[in-house]
Amino acid sequence: MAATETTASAGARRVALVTGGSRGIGRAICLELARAGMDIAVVYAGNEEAAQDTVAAVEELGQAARAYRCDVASAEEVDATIKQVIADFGGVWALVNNAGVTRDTLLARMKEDDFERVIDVNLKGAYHLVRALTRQFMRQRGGRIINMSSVVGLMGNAGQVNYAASKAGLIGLTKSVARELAGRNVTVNAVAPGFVETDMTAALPEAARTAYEQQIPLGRLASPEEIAALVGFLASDAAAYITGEVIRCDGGMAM
Amino acid sequence: MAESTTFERICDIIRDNGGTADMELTPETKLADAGLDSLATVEAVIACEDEFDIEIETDSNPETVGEFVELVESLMEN
Repeated sequence: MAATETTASAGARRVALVTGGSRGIGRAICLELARAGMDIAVVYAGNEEAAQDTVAAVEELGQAARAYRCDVASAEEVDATIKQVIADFGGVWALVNNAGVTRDTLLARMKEDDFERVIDVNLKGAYHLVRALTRQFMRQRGGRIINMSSVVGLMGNAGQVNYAASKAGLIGLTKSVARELAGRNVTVNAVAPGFVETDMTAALPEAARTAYEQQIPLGRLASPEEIAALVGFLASDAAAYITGEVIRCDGGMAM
Repeated sequence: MAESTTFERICDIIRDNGGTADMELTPETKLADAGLDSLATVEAVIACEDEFDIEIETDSNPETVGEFVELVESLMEN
């Protein structure tokens, strides 16, 4: 792996761990946090090439990065990954739970496996990461946890019972962990993006895309960078007094 | 001054995290009575891990000061 170790002291160095960091919104978040001076642990599920592209892009910005393959639905894999990240980087300042999958279909056709897999990755995955890092966050008496929810978790969406449940669940998780860790100066927030230009939405037929755009007051989809900018703010010192919050970044769609 | 015993060092950690600076602690004292709610107990556990360089299982659940000390001592022997 093309990782480089920096010589900065652990105290001065800030590390962000981003799940689902290889592509789409996750990659944009990695780059935004790197521009803010953080080193990046890129956690990815399967696309090694995309993960290494993200690592290379972070390194071009002058920050250290390393990619870790991990199925966040597996507690064992998450625990092993966290151990390795802490061994490599010394700690984690900001955790961004961004990994997510969809298995869209109407409820009448939704198999139990479709429901469980989406919950296991999107919701239980975040739980695994937060749990594995809790002691570390408590010890360092500071840090940021940012969970990527969705406007679908606020509004519901036909064909996404599983996805909407997982994203709504993340909001409850966010607020509970925010209360538990507030005494240790760790802030925990959720970001709820609307429709974003990613590989997933690029595959939509033109008519579906137009229909989506008509639901958005700002009349267009978001770029991944626009979502990442909000995550960058929440991860910064400027956001130290915001915790337990859910911030929509959706062009006004869910207001 | 003589080196503090493990018991005394753990009592100091419990007092720090329970906010009970002057409380007299015995092995029979319940952690809850020493001011440790569930979160403060986790914090005391973390402080013991750092103090004694050990790793305490997440599901360990001592109820009294004596049980807490036994748990730490058993891990120090390993």
